Amino acid sequence: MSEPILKCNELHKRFLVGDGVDAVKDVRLTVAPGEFVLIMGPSGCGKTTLLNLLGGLDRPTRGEVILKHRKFSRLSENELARMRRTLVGFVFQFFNLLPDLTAAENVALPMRMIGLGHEEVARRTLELLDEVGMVDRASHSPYELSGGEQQRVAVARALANRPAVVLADEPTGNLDSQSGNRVMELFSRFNARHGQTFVVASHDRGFREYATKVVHMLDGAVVRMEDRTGAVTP
Amino acid sequence: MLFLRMALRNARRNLSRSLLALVSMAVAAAILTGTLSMADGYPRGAFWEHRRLAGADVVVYAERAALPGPGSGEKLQWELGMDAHSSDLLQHFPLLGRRGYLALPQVRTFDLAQLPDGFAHQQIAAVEPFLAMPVFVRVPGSADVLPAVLRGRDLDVDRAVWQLAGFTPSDDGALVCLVNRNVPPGWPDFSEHPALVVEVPRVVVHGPAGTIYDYTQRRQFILEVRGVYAFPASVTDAVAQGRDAAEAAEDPGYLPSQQIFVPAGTLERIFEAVGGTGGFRYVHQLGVRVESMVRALEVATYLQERLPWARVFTLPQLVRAAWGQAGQVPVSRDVTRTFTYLAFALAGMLVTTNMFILVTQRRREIGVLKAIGASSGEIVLMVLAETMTLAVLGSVLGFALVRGFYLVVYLASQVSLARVGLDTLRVAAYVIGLGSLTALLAGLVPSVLAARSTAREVLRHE
Repeated sequence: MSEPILKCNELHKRFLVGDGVDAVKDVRLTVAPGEFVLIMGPSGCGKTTLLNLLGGLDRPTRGEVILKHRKFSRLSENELARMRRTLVGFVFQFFNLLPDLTAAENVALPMRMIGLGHEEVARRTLELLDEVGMVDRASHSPYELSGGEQQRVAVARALANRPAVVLADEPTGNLDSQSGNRVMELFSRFNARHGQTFVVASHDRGFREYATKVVHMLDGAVVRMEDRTGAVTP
Repeated sequence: MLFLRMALRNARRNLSRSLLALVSMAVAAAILTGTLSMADGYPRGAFWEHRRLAGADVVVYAERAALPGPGSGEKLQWELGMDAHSSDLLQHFPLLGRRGYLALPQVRTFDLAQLPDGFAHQQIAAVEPFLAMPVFVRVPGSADVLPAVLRGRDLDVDRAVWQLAGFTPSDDGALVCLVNRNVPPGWPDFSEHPALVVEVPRVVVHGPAGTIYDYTQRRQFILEVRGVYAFPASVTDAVAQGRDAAEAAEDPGYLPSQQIFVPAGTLERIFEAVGGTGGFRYVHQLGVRVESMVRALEVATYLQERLPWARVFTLPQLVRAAWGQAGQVPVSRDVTRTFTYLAFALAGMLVTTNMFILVTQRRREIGVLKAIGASSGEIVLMVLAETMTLAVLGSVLGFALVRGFYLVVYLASQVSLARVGLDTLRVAAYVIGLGSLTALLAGLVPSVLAARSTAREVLRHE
């Protein structure tokens, strides 16, 4: 097996609310390049918190996240921001496109943030929009797009800087089944064609057929892990 | 650039709130520009009361500075003169118990028969010499004799003042006078009497070195009190006189003066009657009226260059110097300044509120930006860029509107653009600088607050 691109050891997150809530409990996870990891579990089981920790949006109470040899605990807030800019792509349940920017500008934003040249940004933006089937809507504002269309633009934005990993939190949770399927197919295509690594948290069982690894969570802990062959890891 | 562009788009998206912030900054900038432009130039109404008292826009003193200026201190030494006829000291300062007079050494005068070339400047509308004689005055039936000054005023030059006070051009040469409504403490109210008895000392010498009077020989004149002049005092003057500031703010009162005003022709007549042959020819001070008040400083500079032995002041300079000499804080200037800064503080608060609302509304967007890699510094930059853009635009707008108006006034008064241009740049730098500083302070807290919110906080609440 190739060296993991993303790894977490004994990852634990406790929120100081009331008596304290352990949202993530001692999670161990390794993600190899090109893997499609699906995190499943009921609402409140800690999927989103785990994704936030893996993406450097939040800091663990204990444990460590290592992304491409970078230990998050050693990075300052600004270094984490720079790391997210280049190595992580996010897809959210509510799309979260910037309303002032057009679809193309939303996709271009991460590339502009790392200072890519104008021509390169324009070329790659069109390329990505074409891949997600949104090239004809490039100049549209988010409010002129349907939910499914917005999510496809959000996927293109997440892939803009060719991140090491794309973290998606319930990417189909706010979409009808047809739009959801289309987004799932997009993920699958990028995974298969470009070897893009995905970690997706979802209730949607439809993702299972694309996943190379399925992680089941309950009450903040990983209770079961299975690979494509159905082999179960305790 | 990316974040600046995003900031501008945001400002455009929230147009009504952006406009409110912009207008508030524009109003503050307009007030400041107006204040600075007024102080910078010499607009109608400014220093009006002092102007009426002096009867001039520019005052030229022969050699001596009336007010100590840089390098003038050593020239203000008075010397004791002794003369068989003079008893100036004894009359004016009886407690000293000695005869003699005080005079400035090496006094120079202006010869009214032959004014220097500088006074031919095309912007000089009129030159009024400071005609004054020391006199003793009493009300009929009273034995109290008070030292006063008989001051001749040119009825043509000072027409506005005289018409208000009751003189007519035909009074020139007649034995009539105007008395101040507000006489010094302890003096009788001259305005209650139809006439005053004025004792004028004999003129012994009147020449380029000045005038010497013999106070032992006096000639008596009866002057009909034609009216009262009154110069409303500013709050500053009232406070300078030791009055309570709050009371003075309600009613500043009037400037006290022991000057009795007579028409210039009347003073000439009296002067000749007491031995001054050849008329009043040598004076220590000239008042200059300029065609356009905004050019007072230019005329003063011009005169100073041509009369290096004289001291030339514009009236605003004189008044400011007097304020400084008296150690008084010019209240009116303070009020204006306070009002200006208050306007900026209010504008700043409005901008802060605007930015707080904006940051709260855009929590999710800021969270998204942070999630995709924007650093805290970039978020601060974006929010500050929006604040600063609105503030600078507002400041420029307020400045342009008010200063534009002033520029039209100045240029219509034929003031050279080169001179006004320099002042305009100075005012612009000050106004826009203060506007930017206000915006920086106003935007700092909201922007830091925005930068401190983390992507997790924002995204978990969706």
